[in-house]
Amino acid sequence: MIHGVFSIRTAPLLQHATITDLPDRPVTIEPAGTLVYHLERGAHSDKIPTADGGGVKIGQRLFLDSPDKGYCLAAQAGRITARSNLTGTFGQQLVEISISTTEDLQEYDEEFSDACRDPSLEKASLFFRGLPGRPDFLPLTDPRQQIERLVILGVDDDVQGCSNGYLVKHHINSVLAGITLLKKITGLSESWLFVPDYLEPLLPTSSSAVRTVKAGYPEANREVIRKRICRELNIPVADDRCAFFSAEAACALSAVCSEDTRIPGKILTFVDKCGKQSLVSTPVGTPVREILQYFGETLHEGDRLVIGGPMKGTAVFSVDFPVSSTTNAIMVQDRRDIVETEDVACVNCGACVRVCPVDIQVNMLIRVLEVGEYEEAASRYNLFSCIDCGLCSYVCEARIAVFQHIRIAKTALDYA
Amino acid sequence: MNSKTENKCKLHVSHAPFWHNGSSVANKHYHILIASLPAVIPGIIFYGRAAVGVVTLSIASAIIWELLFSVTARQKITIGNGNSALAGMLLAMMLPATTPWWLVVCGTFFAVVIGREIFGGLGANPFNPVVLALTILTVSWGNLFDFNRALLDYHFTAASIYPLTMSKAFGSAAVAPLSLWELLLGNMPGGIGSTCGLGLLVGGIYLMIRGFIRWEISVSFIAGIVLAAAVFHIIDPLRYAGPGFHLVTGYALIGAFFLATEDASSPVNFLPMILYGLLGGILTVLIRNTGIHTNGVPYAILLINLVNPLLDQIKVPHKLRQPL
Ligand code: SF4
Ligand code: SF4
Repeated sequence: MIHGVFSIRTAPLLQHATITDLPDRPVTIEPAGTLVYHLERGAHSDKIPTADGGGVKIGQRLFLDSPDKGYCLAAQAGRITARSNLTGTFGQQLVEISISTTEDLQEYDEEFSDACRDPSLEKASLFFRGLPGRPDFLPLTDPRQQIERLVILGVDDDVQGCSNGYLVKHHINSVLAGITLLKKITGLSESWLFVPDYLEPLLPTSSSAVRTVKAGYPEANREVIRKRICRELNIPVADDRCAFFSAEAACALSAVCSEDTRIPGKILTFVDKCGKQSLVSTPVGTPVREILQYFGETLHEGDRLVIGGPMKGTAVFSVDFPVSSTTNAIMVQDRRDIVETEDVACVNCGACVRVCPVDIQVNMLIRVLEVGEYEEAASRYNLFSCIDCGLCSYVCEARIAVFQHIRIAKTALDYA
Repeated sequence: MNSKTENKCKLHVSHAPFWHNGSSVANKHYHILIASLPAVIPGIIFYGRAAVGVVTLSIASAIIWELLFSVTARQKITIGNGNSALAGMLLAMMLPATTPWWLVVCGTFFAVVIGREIFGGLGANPFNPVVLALTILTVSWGNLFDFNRALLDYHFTAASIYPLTMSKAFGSAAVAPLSLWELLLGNMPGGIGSTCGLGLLVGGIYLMIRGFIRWEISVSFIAGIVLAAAVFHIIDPLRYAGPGFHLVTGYALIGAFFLATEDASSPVNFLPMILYGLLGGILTVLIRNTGIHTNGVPYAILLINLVNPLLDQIKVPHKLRQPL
């Protein structure tokens, strides 16, 4: 989407990492005795999840008030040992719980096993959302949305992640098995599979419609893909009726619903300070500290630890943060490599407008956002058609935190 | 590495994205400065020491004005970003080599302090500061801008009188013998860095290809001049010179590449940019051919700066839906 002047520069500036640069097998990192989960807390909740004396089984759901707000799945059995309150990036109230995993207690939660044996749409939605890749069945259970097609994303939406690309390249059969299972669970017959273009020759000819995605960022963005589908079907974008699943989610579903009901590890890319990428498989809930330890990476004052990719991730203040079901990358940046944002006025250079994939007038948008006129940003400058790609900040000449302004505005309007 | 020692060190927490393409305001300004050299150097070669004096004084005094302002207003010192140096350079490019020193210093004061800083600094100026300063100078000390009188000591091979004055006074026949090629090479009286059209063209094309200026503005500005001049020329070829003449004389090319494209005072979206440029070009020729001023560019640019906020209101259809 990044085009140069006169469109002379045909190659995009920012490319997705390709799985061909990475080893064929991920290294497996087993947590040393502790798993950590972050649960979203309701306004007045003070509960400790689970009833029976703090013991949890494999696949047990962890939540505070009700699972409706979201839940995590315990990847291993153990005992809840600690909890503390946290505030998320946009002010979400979170509770961090630690589970000390004890080896002799490794048994499965009955409800979870039952859902695996006989997955229905309702059970899948109630028990599978904490699996790696976070299969989200909520749109399918919502009668207003009338979902008609499954879209499986074999691509990662941030530049450094390779989880889905890895699974498409090396485990295509379980991806396809997962798609078959998804069709069975949802009763839908139409499915689309999006894979990186360089992996297409590796695919077996299969029933689902396969589309390729170019390596330029943000081609793999969900909204860009949604638009492609609608253009191909010649329907308005508001009418897409797609349910999105990542290839990793499809794999995880086919794994838990197979004979041995094993919850697979989360696949992620670890990027060290020199930019070297490594592929990791680790249970959801593993503290980032253990991954850093494995690679011998030491953090110093002022370094940056990012959970997620360079464009859309979250910088965290502690190495105790866990790998979540959607963490496709973990990145460490040396303090000398950090480009600071600056608190200056927009110089109206227009770089953001040229780069924005949805043609938002970012230069005008930032002017109203800076003074807190969020309503006007939404009504006049299409705040909500922003697809959260972060490119405007990436190219901003004045180095304004444009993307952060946009996200704050969206969050504020969502709460209002 | 246990968690206790880990937690002691403070990590850098900020927001996405965590990468940046490395562009910066300073980088852009220095590139524009470099791009101005092909036009300035021929001027310096021709006018010699006097031109060197004007250029260096202009750049230096612009930087000092900004520094003084930052110190008095207790603002962060940002002279390193090259914006004042650039303003000084552009102003000097339009001045005759014989400009007295005090006029240069006044000019940079108008550009840096009046044109930019009191509006809020970089990015907040509604008018191009350099053009504003130049206009104040021409209005206040117009006699010193008579390029013919100012440059009497120099010998030009092609045109020895400011060509725009000639065409204004005597019609297009008076300038017909001037070869466009000679004019493009800058063989005529004029500002230090605004006569060598070839140099300006080289610099401008470099800036457009590297994306430091918005090519839509430059191209449409030139198109505006060509269109309007052609219309006038067709109506009365004897009175009005042709488009080529208008392009290579006065501040037309420096205006198209270096002045109209100033970031803060020009639009950013495609259609507004095209309209802005076209309007600027057309106004330039209108002022030259029907107004009392010989060189229309500064006034034309101030006028399009004025309509810029209106142009940027033109709605751009967005590509994706608003979420449900
Ligand atoms: S983050 Fe939003 S506004 Fe910025 S470039 Fe991407 S889509 Fe455009
Ligand atoms: S890239 Fe930054 S400085 Fe340039 S117009 Fe956009 S917000 Fe303003």
